[in-house]
Amino acid sequence: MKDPDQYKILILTTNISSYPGANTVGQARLQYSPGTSILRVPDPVMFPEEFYLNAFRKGVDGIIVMSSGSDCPYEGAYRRLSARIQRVYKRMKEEGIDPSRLKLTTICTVCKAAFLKEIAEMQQNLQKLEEAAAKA
Amino acid sequence: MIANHPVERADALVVGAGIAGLQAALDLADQGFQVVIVERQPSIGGHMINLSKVFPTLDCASCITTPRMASTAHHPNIQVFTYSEVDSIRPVGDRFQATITRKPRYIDEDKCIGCKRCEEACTVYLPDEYDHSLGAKKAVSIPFTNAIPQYPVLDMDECFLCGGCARACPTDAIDYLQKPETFQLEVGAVILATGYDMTPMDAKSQYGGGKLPNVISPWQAERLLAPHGPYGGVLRPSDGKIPDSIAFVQCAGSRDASLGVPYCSRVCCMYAIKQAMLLSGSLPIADITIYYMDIRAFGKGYEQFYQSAKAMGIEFVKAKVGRIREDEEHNPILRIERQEGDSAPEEVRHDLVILSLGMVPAWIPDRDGIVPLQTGSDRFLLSPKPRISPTLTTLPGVFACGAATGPKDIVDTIVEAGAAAMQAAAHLQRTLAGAAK
Repeated sequence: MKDPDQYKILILTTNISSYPGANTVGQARLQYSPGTSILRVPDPVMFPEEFYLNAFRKGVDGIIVMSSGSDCPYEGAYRRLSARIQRVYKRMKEEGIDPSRLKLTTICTVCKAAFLKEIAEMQQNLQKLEEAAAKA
Repeated sequence: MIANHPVERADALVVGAGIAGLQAALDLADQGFQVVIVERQPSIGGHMINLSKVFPTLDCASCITTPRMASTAHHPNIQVFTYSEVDSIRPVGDRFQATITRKPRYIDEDKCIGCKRCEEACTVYLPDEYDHSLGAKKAVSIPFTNAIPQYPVLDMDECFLCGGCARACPTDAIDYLQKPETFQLEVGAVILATGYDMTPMDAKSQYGGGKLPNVISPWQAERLLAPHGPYGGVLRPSDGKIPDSIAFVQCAGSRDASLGVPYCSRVCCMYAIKQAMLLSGSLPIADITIYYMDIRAFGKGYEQFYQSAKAMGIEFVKAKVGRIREDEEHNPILRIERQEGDSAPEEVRHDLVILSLGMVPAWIPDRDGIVPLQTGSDRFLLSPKPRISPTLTTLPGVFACGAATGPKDIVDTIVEAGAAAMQAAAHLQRTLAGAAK
């Protein structure tokens, strides 16, 4: 089985909330997996469903969408994002990708512990999927 | 921009970099005025960056403050002096001469890269004032993780000069011999956004005089509730137990002539309700009681917020708390007299008690002759036209906003900061036009 840090985890962060959150984690000298790639955008709602599926096809193991949640400055964006993620889940199922490889969550500018927990949970989840695949 | 070197001249001086000062400075700078901010703490952000959530929307306080802090720190028209004091502001003709002292951080700001190696090397632990003494910090430390600027401050009173930080520093930035630096600044207008402090925990001997470990301040409660709080959860200070029964004592520092605070501090009802709601979120089985005199839910959406707190099961008891003592396990025991129903005094035991302290001015400029202007009997800054121009002070060209003029919530503070910035801009335009003639 792979070392947890070898999993490729893509993290989508927002300008207003979760990217400063990731920054806070760094400034607090807290360590997280070098297998993560953090993309900073105004809001992940702009990414089409195809983006997620392409990412999985190209070898990304898991995607964590860290939204601004109720603090989102773009009106209606969070509702649309969650609707879009639901559609991605549907397409993932159709293509045989386990839906737990994608997670929508909210991270604030000071959510240090929650940020680390999301990554650790995704790594554990990816390990479980790998174990299950090996058994099958 | 974060200023590391004195500035001689600017359009406006903003004293204080809490949410009021940040807003006023941004509003002026966006109009093209050159602004200098002086903040006495090592980081900008004021009290608001310390809070967990804001009422009545329960938005993350840090998430609202951080973008404004970043905009201020990167604005080309703003120069920010942190860890600096205003010694005096004197009118000179149409303009003002300010004397500002930069306190020594014992760090060369030009060399420091904010790497925290000094903090890792330091062996002296001190109570962390950012966590209101619930956590610990090192004698040389960056005040908190998202502080702006990311410069550490060395506490020379507690440092024993072991030299560990100086050896660890990769850029040779530690300077044990740094001295305070005083400089003169000439400006056309001044905005005082000096904010508030809270009545001290030891002000009332009836409430334990600040000596009961499980009777905490609302600031400490905010830190317990914050996602980046000292314990990572709500635990009581004496023994780390998860509290099952929590009480708020309202008007513990307001409407009390014995404290010299006869006025209502306006925000205590709301912050207590907010903290009670957050507590019931993080401790779903805990009993939460608010002992109050009157609930004053005056702002937009505040009454609904109060009603939803009641609907959530938070118990509101109209009673004045006369005395707080504790048992041998440090459980606070409140002696209360109910104002409704049976009026006999009774004693109630809780695990954790939060005193809803009142607001007092953080800075009294007329006391030390710093600025020649008047304050009211409540010691907050006085406006000659409090009804129609609340941001004026008794000195033309000096404006005030936020909690410097009286107890105020965040919404009103931001509105008033914008108003003060507009008044200052109009004053600057008038004096510039006068000078041109």
